[in-house]
Amino acid sequence: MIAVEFAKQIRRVRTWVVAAICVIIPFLIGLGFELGGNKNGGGGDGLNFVTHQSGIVIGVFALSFSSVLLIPIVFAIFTGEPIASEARWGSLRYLLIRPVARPKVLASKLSVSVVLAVAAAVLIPITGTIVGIGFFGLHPIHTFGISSGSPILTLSVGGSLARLLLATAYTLFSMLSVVGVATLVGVATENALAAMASGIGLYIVSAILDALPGLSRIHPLLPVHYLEAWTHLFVPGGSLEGMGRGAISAAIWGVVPLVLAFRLFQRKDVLC
Amino acid sequence: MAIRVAESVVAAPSREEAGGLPDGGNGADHRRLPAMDAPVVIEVTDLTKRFGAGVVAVDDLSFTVRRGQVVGLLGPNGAGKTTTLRALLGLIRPTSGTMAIFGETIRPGIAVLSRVGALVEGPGFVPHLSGRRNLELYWRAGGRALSNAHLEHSLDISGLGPAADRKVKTYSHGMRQRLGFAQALLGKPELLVLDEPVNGLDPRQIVEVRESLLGIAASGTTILLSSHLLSEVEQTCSHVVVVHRGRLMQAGTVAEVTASVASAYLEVDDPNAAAALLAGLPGVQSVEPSPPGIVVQLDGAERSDLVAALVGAGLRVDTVTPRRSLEDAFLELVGEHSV
Repeated sequence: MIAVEFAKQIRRVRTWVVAAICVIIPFLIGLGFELGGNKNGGGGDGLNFVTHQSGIVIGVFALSFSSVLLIPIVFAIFTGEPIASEARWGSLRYLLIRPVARPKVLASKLSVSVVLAVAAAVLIPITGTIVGIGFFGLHPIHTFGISSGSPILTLSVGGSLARLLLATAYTLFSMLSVVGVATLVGVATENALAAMASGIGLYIVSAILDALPGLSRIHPLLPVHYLEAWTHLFVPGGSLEGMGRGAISAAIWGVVPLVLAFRLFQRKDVLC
Repeated sequence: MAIRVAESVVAAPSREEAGGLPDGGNGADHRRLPAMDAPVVIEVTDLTKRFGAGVVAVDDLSFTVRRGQVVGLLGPNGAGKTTTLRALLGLIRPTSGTMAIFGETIRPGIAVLSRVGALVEGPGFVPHLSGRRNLELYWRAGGRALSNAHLEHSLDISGLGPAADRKVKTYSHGMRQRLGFAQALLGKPELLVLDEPVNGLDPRQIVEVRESLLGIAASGTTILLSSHLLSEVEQTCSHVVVVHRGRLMQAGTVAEVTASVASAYLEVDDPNAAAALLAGLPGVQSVEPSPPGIVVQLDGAERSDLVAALVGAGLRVDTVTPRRSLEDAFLELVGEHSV
């Protein structure tokens, strides 16, 4: 069943367009830093690097720039669509009159979608790092805090690569919320556009809410609130607490809609 | 060749009439009318399906399909045919009632579906893959080895030829329909469930599909097909289940259902005088003009009684033909306004 689903999705133009975007964007980021000559990188909260010091920094920035929008879009596209596409093609009913339990059908589609989304998303830090190494070489990273006088953190090549790997894994795990919501809406509406839009919309709306100081009490509940907690891996005195909370938040935002999606799919009247 | 086969099937109901054996006991139709004690393949009991608030698609419908039968689920659009077939395949949940295939109560994705091939409300394929690849994936999704699928056999029946290796998005409507038919035949299923199988096909393709259906039925496969086309059911099916607004109107062999409503078409030299005369005859239900002749609905009288009365009154009778087609039965059963 998983092999069948993989065969259907891998040949789609969509799959390869998304993969191409995930390669081009970090390439442009690397090129931007190379041409711009701006030695002080911006990045998300608290990321202060001298960008030219090592290619790995470009990988870190590529991840930072895309974690708020590009990566959620990639996940929303892949996970919102599988049921909706089959419904639109009229092939969903033929899939469901096979002697296969519906949860298995949904689980297979979901697994393949998530694997493809992860494969596309990891291209971003990988390409960023490779492009960065091409431009700036492979060196240890020195980072410093925002306030002057804070200690400088020095990361070896191996250490910084390991932290980039952990940061990427954390970002991908955070996408559980997009996976959950997009899957639920995809199953409920059988409309690919609605499913993708709801996955991305969840991020945009909660990013806006997260920026409103008056709503600070609900900020920890929002799926984007801990999205950039991984930047603590690259600043002096960073703490892992945010990532821990973020992982719990993502698990809840992912599991609850997924459970609802499976229940709905099991009971649903398939009329398309 | 194809045409000749079709004609022989068209002729079948009239042979039954001539033999006076509406139960199908005559030898020529033995294949098309399996014994009534054949094992039950489909058992639908008090099926009701309500959508949302108050829309009743199927209303307390019961019928039985036995092995080897070719059963037509006949009704106008919106009669609940597709809903019934969807429920039977586990795609929708009945509001009440039960359904069983080969004795197993239907649930979504139940194992017994491996013995069923189906075409429901038009074909549906992954557009960016070839016809052949679509059939392979459909089959493998059921968890069975491709060697059991008889893929080439199905593709041969579809008549797609080299087009089977083209992407489905390049197919015409008729080609998709034929690929859908081939998909339903994968693995030589014991039961075929076909929703409007000839929809969108040209006349020659319709004859071909009908011919393959009869061949498949002859090999012992049970077939349940839905249609709003009376002629289609009459030419293809051994049995018919007439539904209207979700309710069962009548069920039985095609001959039984058509015989339940008898009428005659007559051409005489003075239709008005003939109509007046026949309307007063005992055993005549009604008389309606149907230029150039008249149609008489019989309720006990024989056609010979009509001729005797007309000739006795000095009228000249040119033509007398039985009008016991399924169409008449159907119109009478469902009421003309809704067809």
